[in-house]
Amino acid sequence: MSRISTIPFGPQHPSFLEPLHLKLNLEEERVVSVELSQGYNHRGMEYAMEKDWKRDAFLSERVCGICSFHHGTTYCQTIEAIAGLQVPERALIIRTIMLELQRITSHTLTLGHIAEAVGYENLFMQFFREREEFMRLANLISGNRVHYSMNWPGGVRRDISPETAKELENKLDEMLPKLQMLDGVVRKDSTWLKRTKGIGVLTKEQATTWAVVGPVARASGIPYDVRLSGNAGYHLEGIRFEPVWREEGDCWARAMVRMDETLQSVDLIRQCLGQLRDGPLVAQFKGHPNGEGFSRNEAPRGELMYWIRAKGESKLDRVKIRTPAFVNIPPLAEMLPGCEFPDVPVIVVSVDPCVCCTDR
Amino acid sequence: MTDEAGVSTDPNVDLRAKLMKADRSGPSRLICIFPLDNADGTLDMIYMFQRKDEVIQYRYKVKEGAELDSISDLYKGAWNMEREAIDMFGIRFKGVPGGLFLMPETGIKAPLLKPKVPTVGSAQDVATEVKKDV
Repeated sequence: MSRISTIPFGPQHPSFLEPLHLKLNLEEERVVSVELSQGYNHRGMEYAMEKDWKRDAFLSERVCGICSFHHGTTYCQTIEAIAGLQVPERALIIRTIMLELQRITSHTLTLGHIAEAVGYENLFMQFFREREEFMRLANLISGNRVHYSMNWPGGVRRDISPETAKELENKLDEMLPKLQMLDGVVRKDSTWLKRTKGIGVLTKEQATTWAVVGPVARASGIPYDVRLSGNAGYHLEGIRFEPVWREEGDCWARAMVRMDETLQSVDLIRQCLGQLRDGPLVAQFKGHPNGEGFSRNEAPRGELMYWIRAKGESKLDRVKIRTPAFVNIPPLAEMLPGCEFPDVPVIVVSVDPCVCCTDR
Repeated sequence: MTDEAGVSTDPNVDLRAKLMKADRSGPSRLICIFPLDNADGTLDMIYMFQRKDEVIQYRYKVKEGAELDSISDLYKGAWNMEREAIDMFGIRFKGVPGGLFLMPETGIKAPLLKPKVPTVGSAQDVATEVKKDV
């Protein structure tokens, strides 16, 4: 029997965008076991958000830069649930457009990142080139590229003008064929398939017991999407939507779910643009929220939940944020053993490990 | 949402029985485990699950620093949630170590616990004792 070698992987590693530490035990090139440690990016966001509920509409976006609009929306949804606010339809549609736009920027980032881990630099650059166009669209609507500051309890602070809507529609028409070309590569390219098919499998049973969510769960045969259940803030009335899911549970399936969702998001934005009607942007609310409530949203990495207890004053008594990456990263302890050492970055990146969200 | 407020101060037996029963009646998905500080020496432990389209919330009142049974044998995803509760609120779970987040030894223990404000009576008592010492 070969000797067991221990290799530290991270917290600073070229294949990680954020600090995460894996202690890999290897027998020759094969991973035998792994220990994960995190917390390098803990900022005490839950505590910081107890200070002022109005400031939190903007502070919540700072939890994560890749799903900032999802954090802001979920926070506002929770305050709206506590205060009993009815969000105007136009605001819901604008939120849905921005949520889907950010899903595209997040998924193309992850797909590009997987391509880089696979060693497919050309594909990585192509994904990032297309992503930049969607970043510009978000900038066009909100005036910002990362932290949009568009949400407010009761609605949104910025409108989409008819000219902006037209520009958005034209850009989506231009971008769709480019995304479809990339879809063909992810679906069929032999280099990509060899490095992702059958690698890092997470079975449906494992996914259930680890409580994973989002594309990781949907790639393991769990067709669960918060957009279809329990999310009052998402505008889906009159919109065609079916969750994307697969059964393979490997790196390829996780990439494919994200690729299909990217194309689906383009379709959802188009449908929403067709439903934009004149109306108010925000429901007025005076005073302070009082009571307990929670809300969820389908962030790019999966179910994001905010649970808040307010006591009728500017301070909040408790803010709990359960991010999708917090539950999606630990199953790596079951996905990595048995794999070859060069596959480790591909498997880790395929779960889209957002450490900002995980550590908060 | 179904809010099943636990009246028991000991969730160790009650919660496990409910979860085993839930498993028999259909698959339920763990959403989150987290404590709330009531600022009176007690914490509310909240366990959130989803069964089909319904969110179920089990809630127990426990004493600060209490030791609870871990449910990570039923749901592996509970492991890190319990470790976070240990780090942030000083609660204990049998067989679960804390230290999920990297915090210095000299840092504040259980930083999300509310600061305890002494009552007027106890403050006077402390003052009296100090005088005696002098």
